[in-house]
Amino acid sequence: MNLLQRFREGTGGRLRRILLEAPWSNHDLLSGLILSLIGLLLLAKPELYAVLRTLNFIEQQGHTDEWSFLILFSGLYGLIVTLWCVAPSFWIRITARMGYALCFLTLAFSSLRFSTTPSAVAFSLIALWSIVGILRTQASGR
Amino acid sequence: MADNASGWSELLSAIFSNPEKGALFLVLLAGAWRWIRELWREGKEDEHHESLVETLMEENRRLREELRKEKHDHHDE
Repeated sequence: MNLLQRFREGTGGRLRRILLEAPWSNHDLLSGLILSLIGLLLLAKPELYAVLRTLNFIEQQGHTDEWSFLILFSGLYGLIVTLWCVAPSFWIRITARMGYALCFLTLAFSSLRFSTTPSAVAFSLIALWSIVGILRTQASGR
Repeated sequence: MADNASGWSELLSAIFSNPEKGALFLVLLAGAWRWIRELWREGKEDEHHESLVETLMEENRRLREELRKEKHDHHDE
């Protein structure tokens, strides 16, 4: 058995099952909580747009409230979809994940402008996972 | 090679200077891709379903024909 085959049957196979077959609700729930809290925080403290340099571009555009509401809405919408007792339709689930991905990718890109900081790494990985979340959404299943 | 690298760096700097536009583009691309794949799969499943129904109907017709023939032969005996 060569090394590649061993990897495929071992850790590689496990990773594939986690990415493709494991319940995705855990990631959806966490993303929803993170975005809801960030949205609430930004609404409560709009001065953060000026203090945090990753959010400066929003302040320069002058749409701070709109972005706070967008982040809060994306988080709450995703949370409701994740916690709903029956599986919502395909387009509702995929739009919830697209909302997550839009917010996380925006935060990741704006963080990556200022070299690789820990928050940039965290946002980039969550954003990447959100994109995978969109790509593995299926009409059947959650 | 140098032109290629400068092209990539220009693209990255364009994305980083407008993070929301780059994010929106990627999200719409991923969503559209998934949506189209799902529609294509649904179409394929419908096609399979139709061909399965046709096969079952054909099989049913053949069996009924055989049964009728058997009954007829039995009646003749």
